Amino acid sequence: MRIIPILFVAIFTLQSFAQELYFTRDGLVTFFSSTPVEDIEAVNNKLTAVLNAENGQVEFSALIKSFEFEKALMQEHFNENYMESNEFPKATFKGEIVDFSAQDLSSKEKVVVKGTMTIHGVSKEIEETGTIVQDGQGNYHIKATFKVNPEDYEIEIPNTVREKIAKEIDVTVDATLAPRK
Amino acid sequence: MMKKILFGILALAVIGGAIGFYMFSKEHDETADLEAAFSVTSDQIVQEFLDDQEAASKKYIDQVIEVSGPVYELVKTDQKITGIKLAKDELYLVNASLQTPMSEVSQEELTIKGICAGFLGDSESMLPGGTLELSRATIVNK
Repeated sequence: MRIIPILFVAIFTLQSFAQELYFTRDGLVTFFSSTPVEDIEAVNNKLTAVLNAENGQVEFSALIKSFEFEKALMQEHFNENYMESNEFPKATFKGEIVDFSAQDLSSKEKVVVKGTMTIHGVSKEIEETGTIVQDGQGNYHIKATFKVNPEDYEIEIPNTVREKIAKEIDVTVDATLAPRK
Repeated sequence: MMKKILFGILALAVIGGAIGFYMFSKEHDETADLEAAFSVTSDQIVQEFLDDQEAASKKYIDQVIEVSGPVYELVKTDQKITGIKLAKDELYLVNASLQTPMSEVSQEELTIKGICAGFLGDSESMLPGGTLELSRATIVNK
């Protein structure tokens, strides 16, 4: 008979653990480079984003090869010449919400996130501002816009195309995270 | 003689320019017209990546593959189906983005052909399991 309360506690603990994780595999991440010569845009609608609503930890990861360009040749150059995606297949961010409080999460909109961004095999500590809004179904909507300097991640742009690619690339993240079932 | 040389250079420049323009403006290949290098089930391929990500990456990435499995979810954008997830479990799945959005998908089991972009999921992730990503996918009628 003693096993029943233990089982009850175990099931309850497992359930609470599962409920504190929110995630999506269909987040949107885009980048946009604008120069007087050319505008370049790429879209990846398979961003994985995870939020632990209990402790404020967040994680984003995207495959470089899942960025889609309008032109096939641009996508090929992006993967082979700049991002070297066979060697460095993904970009990740792992970090936490600054001054996190689980009680305030559903009412807080603007958040600062701090952590490690890894692109092209180079990791860098960053701090960015974004928004997290909880909807009526209990999902969290995350949005952020920030700039990435390719040089910071040792992405070499050949001189011949230097003027076609912006020094700072605008990155936009838009994801709806549902509770883990 | 000089005239002929100049004409030759001009002709080469025009041909070179035309080839360059064609290459630059070339759209992506239609996946439906490409032959699949591998044909697997969604469970099989996800497990292969979980067992040995390096070996599976070498085998599948950039290849055209056909994956069969149960439809877990249809991803919609502006009322159109832009992606299909094949899985039995939300944490272990094949996530395909369609080359051409569709208005309806009624089958519960599907075979999808797409370009393998890679696999997301490792032991350091906050999320267990993993996702195999297929780009420019299309439904295979069987």
